[in-house]
Amino acid sequence: MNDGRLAGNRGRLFLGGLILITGIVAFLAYTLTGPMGIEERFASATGSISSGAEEKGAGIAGFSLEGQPVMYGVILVAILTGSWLAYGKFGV
Amino acid sequence: MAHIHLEDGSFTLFWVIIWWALALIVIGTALFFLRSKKVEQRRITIAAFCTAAAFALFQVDIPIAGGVHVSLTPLIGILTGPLIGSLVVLIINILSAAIGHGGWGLIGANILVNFSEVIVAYGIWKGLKNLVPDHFSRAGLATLAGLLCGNLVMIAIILVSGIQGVNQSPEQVLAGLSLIAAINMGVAVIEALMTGLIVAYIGRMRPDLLESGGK
Repeated sequence: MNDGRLAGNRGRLFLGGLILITGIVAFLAYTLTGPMGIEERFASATGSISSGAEEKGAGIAGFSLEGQPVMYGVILVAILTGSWLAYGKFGV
Repeated sequence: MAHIHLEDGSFTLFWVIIWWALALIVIGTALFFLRSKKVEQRRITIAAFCTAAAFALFQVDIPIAGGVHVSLTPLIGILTGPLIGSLVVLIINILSAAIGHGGWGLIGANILVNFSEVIVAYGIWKGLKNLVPDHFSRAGLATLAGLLCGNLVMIAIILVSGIQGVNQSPEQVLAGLSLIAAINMGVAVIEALMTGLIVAYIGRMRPDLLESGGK
């Protein structure tokens, strides 16, 4: 086994170990708090009251948008247009 | 990922100004160094696509543990570096607030949180180059380290600032935020695997994009 492969395996082993430990800690934390939305979790942690000011868009299969969906679409199209213009001018 | 999900008015005006001022110092420093260096033009394109991808994903509530989201800040750090990366997180945070995700007053604090993720991920990515040559593992480790740092910065900022109108002691707030950080790190595992796969793919197709690195 050459040094490169050994170093690659060492990296994957280390990453795998960290993922395992992090996953266990996260699962234990989740069992303590239960399922909560992000704002709800913050409000519970800090003792503040969430007014629900952050708008939540319609969801698909549990996935939903934070913020206004129309603005999200408009801004995303604008960024993508800018990105394609930059790609055309500068390349990658 | 770490992001301060509190509403405007949670921090006093004093701390809003302090975090904004520190964020502007970070942005100003990045602009100063960018002006004094010759930046590859293709980095602008990469930064633009990173901004689009991160903005798109950042707003999506993923149905894990009741709702979480990813940020791609470590990927931004790896691909663009801390200088351009700081500008990318500024834009993402402003645009996120513009659509109603996060308070305007918290943009400064959130820029600092996200910038810490960018710079730590970049540092680990570069620092482990000889020790961990494998792109997937190195990007994964950089992501986990960056997001852990982001969570610690998030906790520190909230504890230092204090939250207006709450009766909880700092110890209680710390305990609650530690649970949030632990759950965030569970999501960081997913983000580490995502970033690892993306970087490994780029490493196979366009290794020059990774080796020239960001600035």
